[in-house]
Amino acid sequence: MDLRAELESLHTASFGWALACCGRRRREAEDVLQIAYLKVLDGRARFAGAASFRTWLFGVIRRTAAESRRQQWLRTALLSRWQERGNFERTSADAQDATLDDERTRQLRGGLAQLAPRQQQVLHLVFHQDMTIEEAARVLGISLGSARTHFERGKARLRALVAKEACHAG
Amino acid sequence: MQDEDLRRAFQELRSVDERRATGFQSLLRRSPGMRAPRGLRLGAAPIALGAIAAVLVAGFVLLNLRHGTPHSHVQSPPDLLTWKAPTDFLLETPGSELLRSVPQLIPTEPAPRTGPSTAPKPPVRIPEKSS
Repeated sequence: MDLRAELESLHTASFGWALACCGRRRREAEDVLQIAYLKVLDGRARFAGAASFRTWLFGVIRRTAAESRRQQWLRTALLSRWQERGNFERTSADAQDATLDDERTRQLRGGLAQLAPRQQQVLHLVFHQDMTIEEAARVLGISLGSARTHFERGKARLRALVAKEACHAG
Repeated sequence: MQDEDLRRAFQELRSVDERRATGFQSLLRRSPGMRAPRGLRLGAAPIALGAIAAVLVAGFVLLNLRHGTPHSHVQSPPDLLTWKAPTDFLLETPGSELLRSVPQLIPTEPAPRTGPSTAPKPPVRIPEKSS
């Protein structure tokens, strides 16, 4: 299997998933995705063939994002003097992205941001990546029942939040 | 808002994300920005802490070797063969030494030899009976 070609073919989808895992912070998502790609290419993450390559790769990206968050937390706690300020905060690129969105996309982003991370991720995988709930559960490393619960609750809450945003906009 | 509306909204979001995605090659070539500057990466912190801990342990061990271990003043246990209980004197009763030895009787002197001479006696003749 040509890993590089596989990664390249899934790159745009992976980028969207990395954004979802990093709270839509672009710079953090780029770093996470780069580290995940390097893990795959240098063999630190090995594809065993138990799932589809995309499902496996999304799992690697999710774990890398979680590691990145933990490292960021530790760095903030232990090395705050040397912390690169604004590293994982929203950058001007994120703000620019938000201003370029149309109304519906902006409402969706606003609603998603208020959901629990797990609900955001399940909804992203199902609606954004066109995965089944079972595949989403595999990517997230949770049971199918748990994924289904997150999906239903997240969907109901997102509907309410988007409607609320629409009311405020109207 | 139905599922289809949600799906359409997500598809719009996806097309926006795809347009703004950083290219694959440029992402692989870029220098990672999430690392801390000049040797202050997170990976260095545990190593530094480990080194400090190792220096402290080595110092502690060296100090102990120089000044002796804290238990060095404890005397070695006494030899069991020579040890005597401090209350042994209570067992000493008057005359107890008599119990530890056999009494000696005064030896008698040998009697002077005043008996019959040692010359061989003539054989005794027994008279024969006449028939």
